[in-house]
Amino acid sequence: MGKKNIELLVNGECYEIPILSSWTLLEVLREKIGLTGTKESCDMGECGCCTVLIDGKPVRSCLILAVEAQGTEITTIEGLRNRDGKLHPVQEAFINYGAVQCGFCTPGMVLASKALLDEKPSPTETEIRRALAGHLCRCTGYTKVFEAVEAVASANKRGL
Amino acid sequence: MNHQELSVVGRRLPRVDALSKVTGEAKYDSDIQLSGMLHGRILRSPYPHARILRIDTGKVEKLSGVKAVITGEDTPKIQYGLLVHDEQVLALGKVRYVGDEVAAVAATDEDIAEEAINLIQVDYEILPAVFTPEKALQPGAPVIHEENPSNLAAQFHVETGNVEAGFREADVILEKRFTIESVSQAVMGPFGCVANFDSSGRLNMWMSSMDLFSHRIGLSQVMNMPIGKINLIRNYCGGAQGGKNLMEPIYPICAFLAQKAGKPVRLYKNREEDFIAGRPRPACTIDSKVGIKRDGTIVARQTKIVQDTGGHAGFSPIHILAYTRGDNLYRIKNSKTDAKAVYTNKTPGGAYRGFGSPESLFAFNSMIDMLAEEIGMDPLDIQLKNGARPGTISPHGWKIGSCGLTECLGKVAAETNWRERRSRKIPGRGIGLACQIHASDMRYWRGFMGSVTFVKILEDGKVLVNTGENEYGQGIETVEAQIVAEVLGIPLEDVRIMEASTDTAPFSIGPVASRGTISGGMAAKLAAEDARDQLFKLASEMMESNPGDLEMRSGKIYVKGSPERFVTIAEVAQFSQSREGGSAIIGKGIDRRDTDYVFVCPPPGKDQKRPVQTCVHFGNPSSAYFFSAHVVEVEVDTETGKVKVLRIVQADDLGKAINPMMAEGQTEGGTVQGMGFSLAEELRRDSKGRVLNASFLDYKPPTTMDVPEIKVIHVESNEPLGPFGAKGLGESSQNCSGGAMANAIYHAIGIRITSLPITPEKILKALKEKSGLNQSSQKSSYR
Repeated sequence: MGKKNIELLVNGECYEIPILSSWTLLEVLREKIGLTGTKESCDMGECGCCTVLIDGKPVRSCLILAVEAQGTEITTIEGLRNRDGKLHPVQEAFINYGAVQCGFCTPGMVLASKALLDEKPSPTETEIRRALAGHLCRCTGYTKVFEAVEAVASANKRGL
Repeated sequence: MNHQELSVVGRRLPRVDALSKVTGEAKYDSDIQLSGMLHGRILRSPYPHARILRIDTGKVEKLSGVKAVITGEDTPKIQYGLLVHDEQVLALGKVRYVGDEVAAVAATDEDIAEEAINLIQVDYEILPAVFTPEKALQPGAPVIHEENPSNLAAQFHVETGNVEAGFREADVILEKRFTIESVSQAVMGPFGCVANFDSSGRLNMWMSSMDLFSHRIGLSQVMNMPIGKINLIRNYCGGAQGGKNLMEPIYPICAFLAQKAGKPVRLYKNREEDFIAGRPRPACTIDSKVGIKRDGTIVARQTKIVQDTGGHAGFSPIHILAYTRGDNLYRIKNSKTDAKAVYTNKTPGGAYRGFGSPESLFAFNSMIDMLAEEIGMDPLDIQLKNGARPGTISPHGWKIGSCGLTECLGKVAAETNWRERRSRKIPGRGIGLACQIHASDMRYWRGFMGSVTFVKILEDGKVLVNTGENEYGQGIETVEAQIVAEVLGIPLEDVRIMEASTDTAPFSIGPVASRGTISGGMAAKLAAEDARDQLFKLASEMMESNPGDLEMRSGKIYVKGSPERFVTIAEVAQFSQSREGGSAIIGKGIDRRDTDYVFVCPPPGKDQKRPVQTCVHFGNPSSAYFFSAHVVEVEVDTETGKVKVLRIVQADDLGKAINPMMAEGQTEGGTVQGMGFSLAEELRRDSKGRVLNASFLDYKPPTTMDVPEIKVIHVESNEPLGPFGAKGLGESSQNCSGGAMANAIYHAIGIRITSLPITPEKILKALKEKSGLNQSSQKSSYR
């Protein structure tokens, strides 16, 4: 089986990688580029742990092939801080509201929350629940995650 | 200690590991990649019970990219298991459940490994299988372990007072059977490891485990290697919930593959394998008989529990003991419990948060509700009247120290306006109550059952903590760091938890049985106090004062009453290290409280290969006990049978909240798991013993859409034996869930479901039966 070079734009950096066309974006991110912040849990699109942003939209990286992600802008959890290293408000809120326990679902939850807030800066509680419905967490019971996202939403509402 | 003066302990501070976890920096075991690393796969049995006649690996060995193939014949013929030694690394001669490990390969990539296991040819002779304890105990049932033809793996008996006499005193006696299905821990982080032998023959492993030291012991036994040749490296663990504390076959399989291939091997279960061949909470049946007087005094209780243990029973003697721990929630004089673990051809059982109590307290909290109706009393009053109190001895001889059960009940009742709400009937809506006890640390072996922590003071005044406890999400790193910061009078940011392995960390029992805070936290406190004493001694030399006259604040050591006379911690650390004959300051803390507890499981006799383990226990097993009460409000749709949980109010007596935000988060998570356990989750099997719902989509853990409003109230009973008054908490929630849900559903629609999970199907069936019954009772004039 021959490998083929593809180019992926991840967190603003361009990677040229020889891959097999059968490799998922998740495999390539974790095992070829070494961005292990994207987590692999079910590998079937059921848990949300491997979520990354593709052109700003949350996508399960285990469900798309790396070749399909060419020509897009991919953001993983490692790329969420701004250039000065400042945390994204969602990251800050997850820390301050205790939304992190084992942390395995956290990268996916944070990215999905960011995507929601980009689209809708002050979502309702139901909108938050819906946006995160595909993200399983066995530790937090989700309550502190809601609090964290609501805190950012309410800061957005106040124009902070 | 005056807790008003605390500045770090008791505050809602961010976790010490939160930053690395929200940035993707935190390294988990499954993130480890080593150069030249191979990928392992396990061939599993498709049959629940079969004899292995022949395994042919010939085709696999010729496949390019395959570097190692192993079967049961390649691993030492050592049988292992925590108490019952009935398991091998890979099946030898027989498979005992669908998913049993038969052979394994390591190959250069995952696709080749997958292809390779499909090329292994196994000839099986299919044997009759048995899937229920009832059938397994019948004469002539298929024998699962030839060494023990009875299929009864273990039994446990505990008795106080005189149950027969107690029942004679009762005004009402109620008997009921409860059944509980098997559920999976279903944590997000996958289960497995990376193993690598270095050129000296030392094994280094990165594993998804709650606790490394017990796995080092287990691997040493199974691999026949000295402890010193094994180093288990700590990483973050993607959740455990009790499910990552057993020496499962996958670890030695991975190590043997690495040994044979001479290369590092990565071996993880995929999600399906985790559901079919994990170590789930096993199913059980509970027959409960309780006698009560009209004044609400429970006078006798008799319980018979039968566990569906599955194909292996290593853990079962402890598990069946654990079912009986809930007995100690009440001050009942006459109590008798018998528990049995019975082999079946199903996935072997393991531990899941609450370990025995979610099952037994579902039964008992339901019984209280039923008895309350029988005698016309509020169940809250029965709980209050019979519940544990501080300073009492429980039915099993537990010494109850701090106990906020009465306060917990009072707080949830007040918050939900219990009495008024309960007396008001709203069609389809109901409210239910349950409470729980749990041991803060089970010190059930003779010898060291504690925890050790070292605290190093660096020359810049910052502090490193080297703990023997593992972080798997529960927050032990933050708890220990807060305690150390408090003792040393420094901010939390100045304390860092060291990276560690079994080589570098001090041996500890590990954060199981809700013991992290009380044991690890106590070790951290003692270590910090030791470091502080050393700092005071040195500072007294530096300032020519008496160590007893010193105090510590904001990184400085002051002479009491003289704010101008101080040295900084950094200066003292530098002084200590740079002077002639000096050294770094290292504080050592050992939590080594031993208990008078005895748990006896006699080893096999000479003439018997492996008899039934008949276990007994007595004495006080734990330093402290923690309590909770839950009130759940539900809405039941009588058309669809669906239960919607509207609100949960819970009060947790945790002694003292070291970090209230984390403590809330921990039990909120447990409560949502408890919803899943009570209302939806179960490992469903077909008639051939195969799990039918081995994916998240079909297994359905609760999602964001299912979660109600949860209010957590902390009751701080200030445990004298805990660090800053703290005791355990982690396993509290699920212990209340089943009972509170069942009671709320009964209050809503008058249907008593005694089988978990309470699915819409069960509710609809019961509603149908009830309406049939109502029609016939209308016809027969009397009922």
